[in-house]
Amino acid sequence: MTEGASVLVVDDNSTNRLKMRMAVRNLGHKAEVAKDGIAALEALRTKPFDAVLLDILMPGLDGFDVLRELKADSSLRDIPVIVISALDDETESVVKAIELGAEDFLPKDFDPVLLNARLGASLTKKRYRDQEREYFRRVEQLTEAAEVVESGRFSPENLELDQLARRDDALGRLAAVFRGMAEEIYDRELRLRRAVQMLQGSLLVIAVGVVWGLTPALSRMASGLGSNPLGLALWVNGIAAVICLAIAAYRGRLPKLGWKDLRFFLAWAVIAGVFQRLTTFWVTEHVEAAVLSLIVTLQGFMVFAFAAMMKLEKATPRRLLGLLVGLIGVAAVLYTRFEVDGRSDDLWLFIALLLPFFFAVEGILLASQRPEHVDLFASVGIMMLLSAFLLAPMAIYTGDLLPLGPGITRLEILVLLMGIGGASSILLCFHLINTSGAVFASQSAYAMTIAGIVWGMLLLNEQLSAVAWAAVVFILIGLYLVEPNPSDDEIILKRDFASKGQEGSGEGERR
Amino acid sequence: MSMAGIDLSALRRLLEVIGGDLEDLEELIEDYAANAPTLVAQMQAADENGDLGALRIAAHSLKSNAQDLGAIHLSELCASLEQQCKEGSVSEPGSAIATIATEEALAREALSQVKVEDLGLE
Repeated sequence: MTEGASVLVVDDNSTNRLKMRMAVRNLGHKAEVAKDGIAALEALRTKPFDAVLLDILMPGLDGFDVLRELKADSSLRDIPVIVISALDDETESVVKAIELGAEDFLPKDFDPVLLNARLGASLTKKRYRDQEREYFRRVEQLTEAAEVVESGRFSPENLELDQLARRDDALGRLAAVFRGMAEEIYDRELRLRRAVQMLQGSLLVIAVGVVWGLTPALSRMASGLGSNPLGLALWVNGIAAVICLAIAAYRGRLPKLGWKDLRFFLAWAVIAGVFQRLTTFWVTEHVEAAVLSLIVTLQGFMVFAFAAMMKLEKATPRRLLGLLVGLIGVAAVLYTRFEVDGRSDDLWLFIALLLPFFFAVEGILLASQRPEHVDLFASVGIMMLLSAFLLAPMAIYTGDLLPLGPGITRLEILVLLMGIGGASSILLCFHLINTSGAVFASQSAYAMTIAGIVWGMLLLNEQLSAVAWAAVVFILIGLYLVEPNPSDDEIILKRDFASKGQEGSGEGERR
Repeated sequence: MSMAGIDLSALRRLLEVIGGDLEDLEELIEDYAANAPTLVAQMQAADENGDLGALRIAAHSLKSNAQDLGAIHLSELCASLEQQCKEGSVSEPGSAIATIATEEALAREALSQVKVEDLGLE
């Protein structure tokens, strides 16, 4: 059972080394030799050995020194050492060696049967000790897995029980059951969390759509009161900036910005505040409103393509199908409202595609480059402020500045409402991208289109058509199919199993 | 069972310990013959340096080898010197080492006469 063990013979005497090596090989073991204590320790630290046959009297590092070094080293202390001694005059040395941790001793003029018996006994003990250590290592592994679950943050992968659970013994079965139950809890919690995330995300998508969808209606009302788009945008951005920065300041969250942060906010302001705004102004004059709404909804596919290319989110056929279902819903309701009056030509339709493109770039920028240390309100406030500064020279140049106040008229109230609406929609959208990812958030374009129609109908006292209701259903199915981007695969459990166990045992003791 | 100062029963015992291979035994005898004079030289050097520890280790080694190879008288001489070293004083070490050197040469000569193939395990 202990045949084929690896034995190290340590003796300064060459003839003795040779004799011991031959004797050990004769018993069917592998033998290596070391000519002094230093060579012995070096060999033991570089190769695994099952036993050591050690001479005591050696120049330099003697047998006692080697024993002390071995027993002080946790990785070597379990290797059994048999000291070789001439019993007649070295009894004291043998006693000392055994006190230092030697397993056994062997007289110099040993009988091969005695060598076999003592080496065999030591190797058997070593084998049991190795098995015991392996068992405790596995128990420790299982305990660590339990601690991971207890810590409250886990996924089945980080329990690292696969190898242990494959073993066909009691501990292996325990590990398999433990892992199975942990996986069940994990799956259940994950489903629950995804459902909550889906609900929260969907509500946010609808909220963004509702707030955003209000803007065109308010714009039309403001336009009727003599405002112009650029001047209006300047006021709206300025008011939104003041509101957001005031909230951030009240919460003590005004950030210190580095150059990298400033670059991000400037890029965001240029895309959202200038490019989107200007494209909207130019395109609305040439493209029919319902067609434009449909084009804007294409941003979902653009975000999906960008996110897939940049590996920001998972790009599955299911998510693409979800976007398509939402688009069908929106297209159906817009189709009933198309007015083919010859206003839209191919070139302007192509330019109109820039609008969803800018929305998509904004979404991806927010999802991938956002400086996480900057507060949500402060972020939106800074962007709005920067875009107001960027729009101001254009408004001055085109003479589109919109003088307001000091008296409070209907226009002032409308502009204030639009500022609040602008701030709210971007805050909600920003939060939505942070929690559900850019692809899911892009579906707010569908909600916005439908909400715009609903707001318009409410203002005009029209009935909501059955097609519009069907579109809402399509959009909801789309939301379900796209599902929010899971931010974290680790489950967080807020449970304290250990203290419950201790309480339980405490009660037991009291009884 | 002694031949030219060599105890053949000790050699048989050694042969049994190493597994009965005569070639191995020859290799061991050759190794001894090469090392024994070195051990005597080490004793002489240790005596010249007054190094009792080194003298004890060399005497211990030669004692053990001589015993294994059946050079019983040589082994006893080395054992006596080792014991004196252990006790801390050796009376006339030069003379003791000279006796050991002579006996070692005799034993080596005697060993070279041994026909290993005749030993055979009984």
